[in-house]
Amino acid sequence: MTRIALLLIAVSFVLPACAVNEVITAEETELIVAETPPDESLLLDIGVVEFDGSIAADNDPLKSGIHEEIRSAEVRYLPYHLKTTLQGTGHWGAVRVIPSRDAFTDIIISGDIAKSDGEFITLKISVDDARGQHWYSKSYSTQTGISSYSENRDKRVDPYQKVFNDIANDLKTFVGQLPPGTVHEIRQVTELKFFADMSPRAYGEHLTTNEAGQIAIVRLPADNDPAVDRLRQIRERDRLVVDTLNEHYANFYYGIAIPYHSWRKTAREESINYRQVKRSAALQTLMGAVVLAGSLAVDTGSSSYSKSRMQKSLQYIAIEQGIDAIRTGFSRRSEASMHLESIKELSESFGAEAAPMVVTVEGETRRLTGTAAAQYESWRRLLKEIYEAETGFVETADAVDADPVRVPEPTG
Amino acid sequence: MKPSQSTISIPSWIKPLLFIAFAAVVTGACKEQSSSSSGGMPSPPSGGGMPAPPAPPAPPSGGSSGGGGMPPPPMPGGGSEGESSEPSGDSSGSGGEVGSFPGGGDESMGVPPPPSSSGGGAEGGMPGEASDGGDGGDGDSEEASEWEAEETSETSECGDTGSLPGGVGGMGQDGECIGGGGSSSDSDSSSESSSGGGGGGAAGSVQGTGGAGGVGEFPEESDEERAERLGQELDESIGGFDETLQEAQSEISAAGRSTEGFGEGEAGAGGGISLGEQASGGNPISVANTRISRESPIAGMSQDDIRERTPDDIPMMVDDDIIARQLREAALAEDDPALRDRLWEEYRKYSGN
Repeated sequence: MTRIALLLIAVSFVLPACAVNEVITAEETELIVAETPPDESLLLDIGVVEFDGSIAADNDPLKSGIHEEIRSAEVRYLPYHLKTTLQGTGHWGAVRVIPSRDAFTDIIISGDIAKSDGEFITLKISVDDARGQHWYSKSYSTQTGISSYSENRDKRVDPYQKVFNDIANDLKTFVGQLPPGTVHEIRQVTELKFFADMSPRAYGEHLTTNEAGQIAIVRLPADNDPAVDRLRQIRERDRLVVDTLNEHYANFYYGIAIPYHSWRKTAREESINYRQVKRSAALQTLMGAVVLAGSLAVDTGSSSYSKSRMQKSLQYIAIEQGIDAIRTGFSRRSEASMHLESIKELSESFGAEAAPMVVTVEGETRRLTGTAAAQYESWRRLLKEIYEAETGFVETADAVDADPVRVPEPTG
Repeated sequence: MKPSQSTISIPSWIKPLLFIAFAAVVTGACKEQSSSSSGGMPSPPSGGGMPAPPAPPAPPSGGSSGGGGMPPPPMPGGGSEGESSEPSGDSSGSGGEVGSFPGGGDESMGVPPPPSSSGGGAEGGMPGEASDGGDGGDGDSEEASEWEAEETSETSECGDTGSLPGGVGGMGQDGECIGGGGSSSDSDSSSESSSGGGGGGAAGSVQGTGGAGGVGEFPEESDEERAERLGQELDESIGGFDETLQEAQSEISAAGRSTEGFGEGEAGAGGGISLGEQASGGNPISVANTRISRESPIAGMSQDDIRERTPDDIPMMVDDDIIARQLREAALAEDDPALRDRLWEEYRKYSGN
């Protein structure tokens, strides 16, 4: 019984030294890069839509780790980094970030940020093609390591780089498995969709859409169709608009990089500290309770007076240590919450710094897309007039759905 | 004793002169009012004639040559030689000609019905001449006020903007007010961006098409000619949009860009990466594969040199993929003009420019 009491006392003294230290080494994935430039006719264009960073209305940042200021920046930062990663592989044509799925591009990548706190990231990625066919949906996660934010690291590599490399590699693998001719068909569909959008009278029936929303080619434009050249010129301008949009995204990306990196690094440290302190607090409280219970259970009723006095003394010490451990456990738990508060303050500070950039990029993209939309509308009218002049078919206002009527040529 | 009332003797020739002068003043006032409100009175379609000007009333006393002695004052907008009361402008009613209504529609436009061909035009509410000569002064003032009322009603179709219903030159659709000060043409000309603010900047402007013209508005133009004309309009509009985009890109490049957070310091002149210069610094966001990292051959080239070596038809864009960027860098770095042209040709083929 004396030995038990001594053991309990020893444990209670050793307990504070039980700090749980995490050493995490981040995983890496090597990116598959094209060794020889592929044929231009086999290159597919990719549009990466701004990620979905929607947050629940009842979100508690301290509990969920989701901070609105951070998320509003990540919905543009992360897609742009994915774009640069894909572009660097050499497997693709034009890779651009697009504000919505309305852009005309061969492949559309959309994503949802499920988790991103500097230490962990989880992206739910969905990939579709221009024919409306859903390729796949997959969740990508990684945990950053101690070296991910080291000052001596390769700064060209993002702490979350593994996720982006995985996405790029999977996409390349999937395209490599497509049946022959699919790439060509997708490019044709993209082009015809654009033609139909700009000149529905002329090209509205070249594609057909089934109930599932999948698009198939009905017929192709004639080789000598002069309208095709005209529409391709307009499509080049559409590409230029998207390129210009991407310049705004790029400005935002480079502008937000340093504060975002600082936030991720500090948030990761605080998250780890919080976990460690919380675990330590729980352990300490538990052991304190065990020591206390054990101390109370010690039988101090010995026949020898001196032995009995020693047992009682040890019991008192063990009880005191047990209570002390429990009290320390509670105080460490409150200390853990301070790390969460620290993360919250960091996020607010980041938000103050990032807000002007977010507003700027939102405003610029909206302004440019609005300008382009208005311009396209005027071009659609012109194209309609040209079509009517070339074919003689005029759409009557009274019966838009009826067959067009040929206007008799003036005889005067 | 009453003072005798003195009498002023007026020569007999002065009175007709006075009446003529008064008529000229009234007529001149009418002309001024019509030119300030509508830029000229629209002439009614053929089949009618402008009402005859109010002939000067016969002098109250004889001795004068009567109403036929002096030519009538010129009609506003008519350009008449003074003898004829018919409109001098083209009244064919065809579109596209100044002063004429495409397709007529005189009643809807508020133009008074044409007077009878016998001239005079005293019916239909027209300010006709006083058939009996009237008493001159008052009648003329009433006629002047009637002219003013008509002008007001005719211009009210388009407000007081000086615009003509149907449009000068027939460019607009029927019923639209084109021209003048504050009227708006077909919605796609010079409209501001619909997106937020649209503050200054070239990106806020839309290259208007100037109105394509409806079917039948150029009856002398064949379908092929019309298609060709519209095609040219489209080309011009596309060219204008290119300028808009170029200006937007210039604004972006002026802002500059710092890549300090990516370990390569600041690239490009002015402390940032501007359009067309990203190639010089390479893609700072490299991937976890060192095989593709290399030093750009145009790292030391200034922006002016890059612009000089870049053909006009190739945009100064940075959003090239890896292959296009390498072609661009090779072309920019090449000193031999012939080889440079070939490299740019390869770039065009690859990027589809």
